[in-house]
Amino acid sequence: MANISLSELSQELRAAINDLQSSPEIKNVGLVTKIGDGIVWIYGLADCGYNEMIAIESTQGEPIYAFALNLEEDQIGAVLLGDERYVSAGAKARLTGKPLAVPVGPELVGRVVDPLGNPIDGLGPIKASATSPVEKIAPGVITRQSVKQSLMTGIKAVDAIIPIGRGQRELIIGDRQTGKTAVAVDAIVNQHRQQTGVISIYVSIGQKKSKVARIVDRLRQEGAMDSTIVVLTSASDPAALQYIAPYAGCAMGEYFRDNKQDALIIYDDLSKHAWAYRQVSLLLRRPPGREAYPGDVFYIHSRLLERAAKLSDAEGGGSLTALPIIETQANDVSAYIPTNVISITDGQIYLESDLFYQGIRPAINVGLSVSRVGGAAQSKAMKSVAGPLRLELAQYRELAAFAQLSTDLDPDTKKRIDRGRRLTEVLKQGQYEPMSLSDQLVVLLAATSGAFDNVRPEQVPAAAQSVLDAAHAQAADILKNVAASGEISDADKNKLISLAQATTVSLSANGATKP
Amino acid sequence: MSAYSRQKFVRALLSLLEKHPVKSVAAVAAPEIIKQGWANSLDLISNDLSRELLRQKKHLEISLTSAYDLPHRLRQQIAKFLADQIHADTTHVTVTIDPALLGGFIATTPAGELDASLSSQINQLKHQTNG
Repeated sequence: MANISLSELSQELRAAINDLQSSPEIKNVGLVTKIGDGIVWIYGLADCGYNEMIAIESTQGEPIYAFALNLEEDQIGAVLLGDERYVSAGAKARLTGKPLAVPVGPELVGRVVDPLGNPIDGLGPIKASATSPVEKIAPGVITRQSVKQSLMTGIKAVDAIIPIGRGQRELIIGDRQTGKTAVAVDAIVNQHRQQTGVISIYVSIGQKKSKVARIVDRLRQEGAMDSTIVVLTSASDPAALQYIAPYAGCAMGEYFRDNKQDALIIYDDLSKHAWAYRQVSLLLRRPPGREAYPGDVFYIHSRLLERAAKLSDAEGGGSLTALPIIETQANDVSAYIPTNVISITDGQIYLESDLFYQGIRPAINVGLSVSRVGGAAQSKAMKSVAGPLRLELAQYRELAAFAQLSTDLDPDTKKRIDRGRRLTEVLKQGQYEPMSLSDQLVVLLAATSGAFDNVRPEQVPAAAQSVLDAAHAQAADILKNVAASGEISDADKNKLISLAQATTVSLSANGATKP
Repeated sequence: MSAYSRQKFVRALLSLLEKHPVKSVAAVAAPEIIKQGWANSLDLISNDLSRELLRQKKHLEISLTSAYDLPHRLRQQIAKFLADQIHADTTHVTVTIDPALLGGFIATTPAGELDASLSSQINQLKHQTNG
């Protein structure tokens, strides 16, 4: 310690004390009357606003924060954001004058955080440049423009038949273990692989920590964590944190949307979010409605999903695309929460466990899945292929019941059934294997032009890979043009079809023909 | 759950106190307080009464806690300052001594708290220097 004189020390102390803001200020102070189950009831604080942050004295010294959700005549019901063991009845509570806010900005990219923005990945503190309220009003009608730019997930079945645009809300719905999270994570990986510049936010709500750890690990292996923020609440976290997690993630995504960038946010999953909100509401003694959910359970999701938007060019042209996930029970899409969210979103990707067990993965039921944005979010090249694909699959679904009688059917029907089987095989795709637009185009063009009609169904994936390899080797310039412009001329299309047919003929010569 | 709020009960109490003696009002109020489950919340009821007195009669109840006994003139100055801030016409001060404050005082009113204690200032300084 350097030599410091006593006079210098006392001068420093005087200066420090003078620097304190010591103007007399009468502050509204409340008293904790009851605490339990993560809810604290506070007497006083008549000026408290809805969602306002309240600082409560704790036995640890540092205040513990809560946010007010019930404003009653005699008391305030607030949800604790910290450990209730350190708050006792009789503790003083003070208003902060601010709503619940989280740090936002590019500093969070690559990090795993909790819903309050605190890092939990062990990589050090985050010095965020800004904060944003967790609850914000969605952009108005005038500040938006229609969704017209595609967000490629890299999954053939999605990008061709259920295309997603930037600024859209597309629901991923299905039973447990049907690949819902896999679809969402592949979308994130594809943004990194294709260098789209889209920032991804994965919000885990009440999931197992082991599952999220696997996802983060995979994203790191793929290099996708460099453009991803993970907001984590696990099943062991308080219901209050699970409740605010999607709003916190949305605030982080809105930063990029409002700064002329594109962002993708995945809410995994909103069923657990509804459960957490139900728990909080019941503990706050709010009257239960249908299935014990509070009356505003629709509103918690509608106000969240409305914040995903494509902004007008005057507002910067940024976008926030939302992929909420809902877990159904026994394929019941007519249950309360699923129907709520289906009515809010701009389409749904419906995953079925029957398809999953049949080996059709991703287990997307293309008949029940829809994108209300549709072709407006597709490139011209993909649109030219998607139309015939959709039609042929629809015809196959109608005739699928007769598939077992294929020996007794007329040639045209048999042809449609055979084509449908091969298209189904083509749409199968491995996890973490997202494909670029040009690669998808090659494979789907080959399939819809009949190049695989003479290949056994079980050999179709291998045949598709051969066609792809051949296209990369012999038509690289066409693929490059497609990737750059999103369009393909008829001449280039015919070249690719000829190449595919030639490749499959050589495969036939090697014994991959249909029996 | 109570059939009505404590605030409504307190307003009714005050209107009774204007016409009837305190003892008879208390005798009537006691069974109702027990019935509504507020027997353990008498402090809160008295706080509500103070708030209602401020609102209706512009009378300010001040609970003054200080580390040492404050001179009468200083107490009057504090009461006047608070009355001016809160727009009260009359005040009543109750004093408590708490050496844990180290110095200064904390004045608690129905409209809020004025914390000018030395212990709070030191905590604030500690908080600021810790970043």
